[in-house]
Amino acid sequence: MMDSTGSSPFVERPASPESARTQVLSFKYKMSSMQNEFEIEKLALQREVTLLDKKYRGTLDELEKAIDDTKYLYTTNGELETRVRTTEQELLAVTGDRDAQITELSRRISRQDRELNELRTSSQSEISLLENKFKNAQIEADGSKTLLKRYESEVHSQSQELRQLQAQLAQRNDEVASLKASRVVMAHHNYSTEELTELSTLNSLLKEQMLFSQNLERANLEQANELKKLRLSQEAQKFLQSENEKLRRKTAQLKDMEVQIQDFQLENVNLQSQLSFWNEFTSQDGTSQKKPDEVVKEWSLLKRENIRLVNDNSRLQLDINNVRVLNDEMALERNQLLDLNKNYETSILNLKKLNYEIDQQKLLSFEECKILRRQLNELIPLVDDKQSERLEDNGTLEELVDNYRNKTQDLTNELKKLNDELMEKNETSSSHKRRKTGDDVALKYSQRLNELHIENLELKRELTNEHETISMLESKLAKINTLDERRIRILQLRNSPFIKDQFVKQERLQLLLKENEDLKQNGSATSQDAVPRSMYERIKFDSDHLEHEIFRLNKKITRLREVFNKKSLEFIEVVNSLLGFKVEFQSDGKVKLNSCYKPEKYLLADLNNNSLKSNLQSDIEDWDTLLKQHVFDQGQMPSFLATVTLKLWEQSANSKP
Amino acid sequence: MSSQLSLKGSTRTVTEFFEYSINSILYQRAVYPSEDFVAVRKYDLNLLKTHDDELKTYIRQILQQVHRWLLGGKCNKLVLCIVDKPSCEIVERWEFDVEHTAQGTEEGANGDQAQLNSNQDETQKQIRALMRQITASVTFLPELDDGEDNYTFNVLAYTDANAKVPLEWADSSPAEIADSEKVQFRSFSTNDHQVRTQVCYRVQPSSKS
Repeated sequence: MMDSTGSSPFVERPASPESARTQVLSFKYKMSSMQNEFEIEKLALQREVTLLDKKYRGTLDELEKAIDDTKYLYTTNGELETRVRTTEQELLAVTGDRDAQITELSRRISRQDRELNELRTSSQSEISLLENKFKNAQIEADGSKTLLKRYESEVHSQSQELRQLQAQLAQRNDEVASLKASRVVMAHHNYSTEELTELSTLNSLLKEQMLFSQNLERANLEQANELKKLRLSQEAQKFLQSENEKLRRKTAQLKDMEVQIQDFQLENVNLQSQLSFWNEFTSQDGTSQKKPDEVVKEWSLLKRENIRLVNDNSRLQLDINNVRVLNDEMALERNQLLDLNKNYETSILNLKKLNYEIDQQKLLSFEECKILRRQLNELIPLVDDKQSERLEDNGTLEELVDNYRNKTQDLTNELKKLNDELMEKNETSSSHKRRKTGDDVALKYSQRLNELHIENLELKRELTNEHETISMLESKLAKINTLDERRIRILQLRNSPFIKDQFVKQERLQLLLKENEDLKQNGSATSQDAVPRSMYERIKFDSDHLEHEIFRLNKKITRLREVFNKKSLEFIEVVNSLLGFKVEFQSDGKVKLNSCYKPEKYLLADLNNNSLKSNLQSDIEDWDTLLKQHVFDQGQMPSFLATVTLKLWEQSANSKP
Repeated sequence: MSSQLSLKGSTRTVTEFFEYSINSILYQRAVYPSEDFVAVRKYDLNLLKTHDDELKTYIRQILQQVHRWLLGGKCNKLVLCIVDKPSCEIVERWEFDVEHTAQGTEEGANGDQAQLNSNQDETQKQIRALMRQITASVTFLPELDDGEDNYTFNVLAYTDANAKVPLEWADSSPAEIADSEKVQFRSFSTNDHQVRTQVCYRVQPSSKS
């Protein structure tokens, strides 16, 4: 473009006006092309913006849906929580009941303990009382024994003395007898005074001896009385001894009772241990009054309930797991959505930024265009008027172009700066807000989720504890059940007909065996008249049995009679209803027939005498002819009776209005 | 509560069936004379029931206790043995196996009255068929000797070892028949029980006149 014609080859000359025009044209072309490109880009960007907006709205809707789902999950979770609470409450109630039962059992055990203690103390006091009595009795017995021995020895000495005295008495008696004999002899021979004196002295001596012997006899009687007393005391001693033995037996029984008490204590200890075992599983509240059987029954019911609760719990757990899985999926989706959202937001922002830059560039290009137009307007007069000065002004144009470049550069820089600032502001203001709200919801949700997780873990722990207790109780029950082995018993009533029959047979057999034995023994003794008692017993048994048989047969006969009567009544009823005659069998072979049309009248057939009487003659006019015709001539009694029935029926039919 | 009611009803049905079946067997097999029985209408059938006081008391005594055992789930079999009096041999052995089923609890808890009624109707139908079979069994069972008062009977209850046993009851042997033929009858089921019936009988009677 530069022209080489000039003074100095180093000085740049301004461009020619044609080249400027071409430049302007090229600029214009460029500008128009740029404007077109800008319009096209603008439209494309607008399209993209609308698309992105649509996508953004869609994602927002999805996000809202996801939030709604999370809300629904939250509500369902709340319901599940309430259910879990109710089940917990039920569980608490059940445990409370169980506690009450246990306390009742413990109270009963304590009461039994008290009773046992009372019994023990009372038995101990009784034992001590009896021991004291026993000791006293022993002491008394010892005293009486020593007394008895002393008495016995005294009695013995007294009896010896008595014997001696008796011997002396016998001697004296002999002497007296000899003296009497000698006196008789001497009565007639000796009358000397000396002998008389001797005799008188002897007599006095004898009297003394007699007195002495009488005294001795008295003493003897007294001793005998004493002996009697001693015997009585001995009997009393024996009685005391027997009493002593009884007391000893009682003490032995007391020992047994002590053993029983020990057993009771052992049982008590066992019960206490069982109670403590129960207490291991339960707290110590509540009261109730129930028996162990009822407790076991209730326990079995509780077990069933527990199984049901466990089932419910497992179902709930499954639900919770499902919810958790859903929750995780939702969280993942949420994160994905958030990421997508973030991407969309950033893309939107970028696009906005681009849009803004394009706007700025557009403005700049407009500004440039304006400046260029102004310059062109300025250049046109210059071209016309001062063509000579063109060369000089080339420098100024170049300066202008430089200025223009610099200005455009500055403006673009400023625009960039402003744009950046604006974008930063927008980013910080708009997107931050949205994200903040989104983050708040997510935070709350995650917090709630954590809480629920913790609660779930606690519930799981409780459930495992409950499971453990259940398994423990089940094992206990299984042990209890295995204690009394599940065997089958075959039972029958003791008074079954078969056993009764067997019993009768056995009894008869025993009686017959005994009779046989007795007859064998009696046969050896060959006593014809004597009949053993066993035979009588056997015959009595047989007669009883026969009586029973008769009773049975009588019963059978009465039943058969009943059946017969019933059947015969049925028969008579049938005959009455079908043949029209009430048949009555009389004792002497007569049969009385009453027609159902005239029940007050009768026909009396005597089967023994082959005769017939009736009081129906007055009611039936041609009675005799009928009788003759049917009975005497034809010998047909049934036809006669049928005719009579027919006649009577006609009469009764005519008499009715 | 409803399951307990169901159990009671079911047990009553089973006990009633035992009563009528025992009576029918005693009549059909001529253990007691026919005049001791009267016809009654039951299960839409004409069945025979004893009116002998002694026998009635004995059967009632058995069934009352069996009812208690069934309620407690302690009885699982009832056996009626027909015994030849002179030889003391068991000639026939009627077995009623009782199985305790648990279906009644759930149905009792949830099922409606219509369901229960339909179950009862079905049970009645099954019992009717079974009673007919018992009545018809005389056609294939060996003929019992016609002699007067030749046979007696005994009822055995199979219970758990831990069942409460009153003083009137004593242990017994199974009283089984060696080399016996067995015929299985139809079964019936209630909400809580299933009852299977079979008869064992001696194939070749011993050389008894």
